[in-house]
Amino acid sequence: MAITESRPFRTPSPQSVQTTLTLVSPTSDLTEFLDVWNPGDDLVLHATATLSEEFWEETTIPRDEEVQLVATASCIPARTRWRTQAPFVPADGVWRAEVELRVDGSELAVELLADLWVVGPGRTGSSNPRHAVHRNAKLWQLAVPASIPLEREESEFPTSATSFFASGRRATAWSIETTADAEPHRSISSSIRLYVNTDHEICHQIVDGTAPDDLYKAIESDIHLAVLHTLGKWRDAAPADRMEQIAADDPGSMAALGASIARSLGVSLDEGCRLAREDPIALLSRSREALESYRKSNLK
Amino acid sequence: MTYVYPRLTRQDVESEINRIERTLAAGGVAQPFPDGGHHPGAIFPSGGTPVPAQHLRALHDAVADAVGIPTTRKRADRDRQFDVAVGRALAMWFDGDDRSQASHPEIWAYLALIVLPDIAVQRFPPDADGRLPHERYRAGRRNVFHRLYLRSWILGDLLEDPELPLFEDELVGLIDRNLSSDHRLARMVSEQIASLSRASGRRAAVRSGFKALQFELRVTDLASMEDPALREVLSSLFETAEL
Repeated sequence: MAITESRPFRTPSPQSVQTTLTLVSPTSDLTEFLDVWNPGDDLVLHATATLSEEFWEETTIPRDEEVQLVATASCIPARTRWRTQAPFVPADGVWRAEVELRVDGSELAVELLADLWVVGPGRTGSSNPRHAVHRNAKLWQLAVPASIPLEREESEFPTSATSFFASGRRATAWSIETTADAEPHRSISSSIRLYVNTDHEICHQIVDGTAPDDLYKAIESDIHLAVLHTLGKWRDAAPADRMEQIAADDPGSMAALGASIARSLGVSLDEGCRLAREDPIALLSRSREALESYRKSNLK
Repeated sequence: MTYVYPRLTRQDVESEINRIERTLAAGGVAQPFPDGGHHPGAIFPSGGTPVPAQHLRALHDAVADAVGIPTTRKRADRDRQFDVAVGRALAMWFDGDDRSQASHPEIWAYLALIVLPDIAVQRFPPDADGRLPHERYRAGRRNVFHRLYLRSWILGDLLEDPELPLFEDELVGLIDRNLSSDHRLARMVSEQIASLSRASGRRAAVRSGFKALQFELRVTDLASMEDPALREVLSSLFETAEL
C-alpha cells in the first residue's frame, strides 16, 4: 500500500519531475559493474532532471527563485554520504539541471544507495510572512533510492588482482598461491588464492571473464595441481578416510575442494594427492584431459 | 597494498563465543589468535590481498597500548576511558589501513573473537553465570569495537572533551541513526546534546530532539545549510524538546 507523507509545504506531483540517474564510471552497465569494479576504486554517477510546468504551478514557487537538483550517495555501513547539487536553469523552454557525483571508493563497502532530491523554498501557505517559506525544503525525491551492490556472491574462486612487479612476484600472468597453514579443514578462501598480474594486458580480460576459454582451463589446471599438492602434504597427518570425512562435513574446506577436483579427474582424493606429490606431470596431463584443454572446438 | 580482512560464518562466530566462555569459566584467559594464526574458517573475500596475521598482531598491540592501565577504579569512568582510547586507536589504524575494510560489519566479529578477545573481555566480561554478552562479540551495531570505531571516526576529538560529556545512550542514538552519515551534522548534534542541562529530564529531551530531527531530515535538506543556520535549526529542535 502506498504511503502518503504529509509535508509542511506544497509539494509537486511525482510526475512533474523527470530524472535520469546513471553510473558512468567504472562502467555504465550495472550488470557488469561487479566484474570491473575493484574495492577502493572511485565511482562516478551522473544525474539529470527536468521540471514540468506543473511543478511551478503545484509548488507555487516563483520561477525566479532558485531550485536545486541534489544527488546523494550513501554507504550506510560506512556511515558516509557524498552529495552534490546544481540549480535548475531554463534552456529551450525546459527547466533542467545536471550533476556529476564522485564517490570515494576507499570508504565503500556492502552497498551504495543513490538518491535524487529537488530542493528549494517550499511554500507553507502560512499568512505570516515569517513562516511562509520553508527554506531548503525537500520538494521531491526518488520513490526508492537506487541500490548499487558492492559485494559479489562469494561462490567463485578467491581471486585478487595486483602488480606482480610491485609485490615481488615472478613476471607471469597469474599465479596460484597457497598459505603455509592450508590444512585440509581450513576454508578455501584462507588457504588458496588466484593472483592475476595487473602488469600484464591480459589481466583485465581474465578478471572480467573475456579471456580465451583455454586460458581459464590453464588456470584451472594450476589450481588442480596446487590444491592436491597442498593437501598431499597432510597425507600423513590426515589419512584418506579422515580427509574424506572433513570434505563431507564442510563443503567450504580445502579437503572438499580437493575431493571435488579428484572426482573430476576420475581418481580418489588420496590418489590425486599422491599424484600431485609424486608425479605432478601425470596429474597435469589428467587435468588437461579432463578439462578438454586446446581441443579443436575450443580453438578460436 | 590493499589488505582484505577476514570474516567468519555465523556458526563459527557462535562456536568461538562459546569457546571463550568455556576458557574463561575454566580459569583461563581469552587468547588472541588461539590457532596460532588466522582462524581455520577465516573467509577472505576476493579483491586485494588477505591481511597477514602478523599485520593483525600489530593491530592488537596498537589497541592494547591504547588501553593501558586504568587510572580510575570507578567502573563507569574506566569504561569511558576504555571506549575513548580504543575508539581512537581503531580510527587511527583504519586511517592508515583501508577504511573500506572497517565498513564491513562482519570483520568486527573476527576482530573481537580472534584478534582482540583479551581486550574485548576487559570491556564486556562474562556475567555471574559465565555468559558473555553475545551481541558485543557478533557482527552488528552493538559489537564492542565497531561502535567505538564509528564514534571516534565520526565525532573525533569531541568524545575526549571533558566539557562535552555525551552519555552512552546518547552516543548510541546518534551513531545508530542514518543521520551519522553526515559527519558535520552528527558533530553539531553532539554539541547540541552536550549543551543540554544535565538535569533528570535530559534523556527524554534527547529522545524527543532526535524524533524532531528525524522528521526535519525528511522534509529539509539540512546538509545544504551553512553552519550558523544549521546550528540555529538544531538548537530550536533540541531546546523545544527540553521544555
